[in-house]
Amino acid sequence: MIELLGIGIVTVLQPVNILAMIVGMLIGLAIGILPGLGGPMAVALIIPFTFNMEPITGLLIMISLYCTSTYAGSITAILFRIPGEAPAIMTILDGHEMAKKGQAGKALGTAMLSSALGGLMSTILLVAISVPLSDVALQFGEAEYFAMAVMGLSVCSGIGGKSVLKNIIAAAIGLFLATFGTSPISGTPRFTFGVSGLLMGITFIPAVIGLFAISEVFEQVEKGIHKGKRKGYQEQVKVKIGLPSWKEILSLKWTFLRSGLIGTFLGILPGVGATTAAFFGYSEAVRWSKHPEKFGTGILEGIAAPETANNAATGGAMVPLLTLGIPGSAVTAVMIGAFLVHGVRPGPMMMMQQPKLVYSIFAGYFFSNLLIILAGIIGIKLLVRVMEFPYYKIGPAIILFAVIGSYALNNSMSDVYVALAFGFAGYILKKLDFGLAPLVLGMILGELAEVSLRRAMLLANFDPTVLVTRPISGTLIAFSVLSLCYPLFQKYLTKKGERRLDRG
Amino acid sequence: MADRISALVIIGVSLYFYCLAGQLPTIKGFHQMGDSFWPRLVLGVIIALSAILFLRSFFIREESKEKDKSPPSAKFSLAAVMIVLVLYIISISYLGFLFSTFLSLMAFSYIMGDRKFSGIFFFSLGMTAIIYLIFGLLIYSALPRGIWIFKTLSTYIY
Repeated sequence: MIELLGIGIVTVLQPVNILAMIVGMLIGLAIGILPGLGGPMAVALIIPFTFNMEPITGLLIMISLYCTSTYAGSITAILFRIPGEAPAIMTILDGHEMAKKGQAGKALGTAMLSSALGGLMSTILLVAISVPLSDVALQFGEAEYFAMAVMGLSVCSGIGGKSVLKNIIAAAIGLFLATFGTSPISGTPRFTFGVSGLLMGITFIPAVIGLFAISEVFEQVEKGIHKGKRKGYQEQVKVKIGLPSWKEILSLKWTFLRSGLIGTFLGILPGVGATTAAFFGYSEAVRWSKHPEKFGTGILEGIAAPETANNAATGGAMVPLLTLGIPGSAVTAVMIGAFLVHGVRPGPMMMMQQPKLVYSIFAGYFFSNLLIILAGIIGIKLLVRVMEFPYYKIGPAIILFAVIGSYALNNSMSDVYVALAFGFAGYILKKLDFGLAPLVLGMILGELAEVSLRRAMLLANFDPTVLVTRPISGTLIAFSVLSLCYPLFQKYLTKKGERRLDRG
Repeated sequence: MADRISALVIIGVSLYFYCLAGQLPTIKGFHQMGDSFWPRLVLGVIIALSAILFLRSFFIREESKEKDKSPPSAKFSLAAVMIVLVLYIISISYLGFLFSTFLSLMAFSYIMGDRKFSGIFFFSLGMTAIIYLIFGLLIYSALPRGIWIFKTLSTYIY
């Protein structure tokens, strides 16, 4: 393990890979700072640029982008009370209060340090948990694989749109779309309508690009925010990042540790993402604090707790992806496309067959979280330029990257048509409040669910009870049911957080 | 109302595919769970859930959405962006990648609010050049050349 980790570190520290992480960091910063541009869209658009790269180089861009964008949302949250990304919502409470008191620099420094520490802690736990978990996953039979797919799908209620019912319908539509093409067991064509391009099924990456990039541009144009520049930010961002003192850092040690553990654990749970981790990190910090009444008035703990937790959740979300092959969040769902482009299918087999790649990913996570410190320093300077950038430049560029990215996948115009169709479909689905991430989840897990179910049934002489009577598969299915019900609990937490925000 | 209509559309499309799945050939040995089993199971779930959505729409009032309050000019811009995007993708096969991209970028920039012609021109030219450098020269993607005179012109460039 130590030897593999050493190989991973050496791989990641190659100049091209360092450059890849810096590129990812810069894109992540821009995405995190700009409200309305999300991580899944950025990852989807980046995938085509990584075709010719080594798998690890392409993946490092995305890992760095993922970590940095989660952190960067805190910059606008602290300075302007606008969370660039949803996980930064709780950072507003104390971060913006500190900014109002003229301590914006220290608030930004604390957010940067906390995010980096949270990410680093989750990386250590990612290394410690992933290998034993994948060893367990290797013992899985077909029933367990089906249960695992169901567990992956159960995430759908928690990510995407607001309506649980519509999210489940979207996931089911995704499952259905995955049946297009050649049947995985018998090899007969299904729903191809005589079109040869459909024999291989609906191409995943153009579909994701359409859903997340093209539909996003439509939405932004419709909101009418595209005209003109964002004004009035120049004065507010004339601030320099400042770290808290050693004494202050030491006083936050238990907050870092508690939020790091909470964030990693919640990140591992399917569908419970960085936003929830930030809520829990904050609420637990209040519970354990000797002076809970000071929260919301602008204290360092109020920034450290949510920021450590939300970045720790990014590492946690990689655990189910790498060990079981099931994405735990919208970004990791899209990230699967990056693995597939390079012929790698995440899951227990990857851990066994490509340990060097896996350990390089671990090392990449570690260094990407260290890069957050650099991101924090240059983030403020970049902020001025990025916030000034008008949408009439960003929008056409996104459309262009979406079209060329879809085409370059197979040098085929039919992939561009897929992106276009999914762009329109994504826009309509979003208008109707159907989640896009659940749809993508369904498309990813459809084949695994079908193949494992049919094989499990064949082996069990068509006795469906095998799915719930086997201990692991039964547990996973029970867990899936709980996971589907989780959003109701999350709604309660969100309302609680909103009430605090209103009071603040 | 939107929920009701979307539920009905989903049910209608799902029923069509449900019937279509019944025509899939079955291979001996897999007859108890043929190729139609999984799609039909999923479609059944979709139909059932959509029926719930349909019925629910009679009892739960839909929240008025903020995004529906977008200004008329924005709706016009959206329609224009959608039309230009479709035309762009169609025109790639005829005008070639470079020409169609350059023209479409100019159109997108204008629709989205840029009013400086020089800005539009140089932005479109620059982006087209960047994409050509990355995908045409670095990734060796065979960018479409179009037909007729556009093919000849494109061949001179790439």
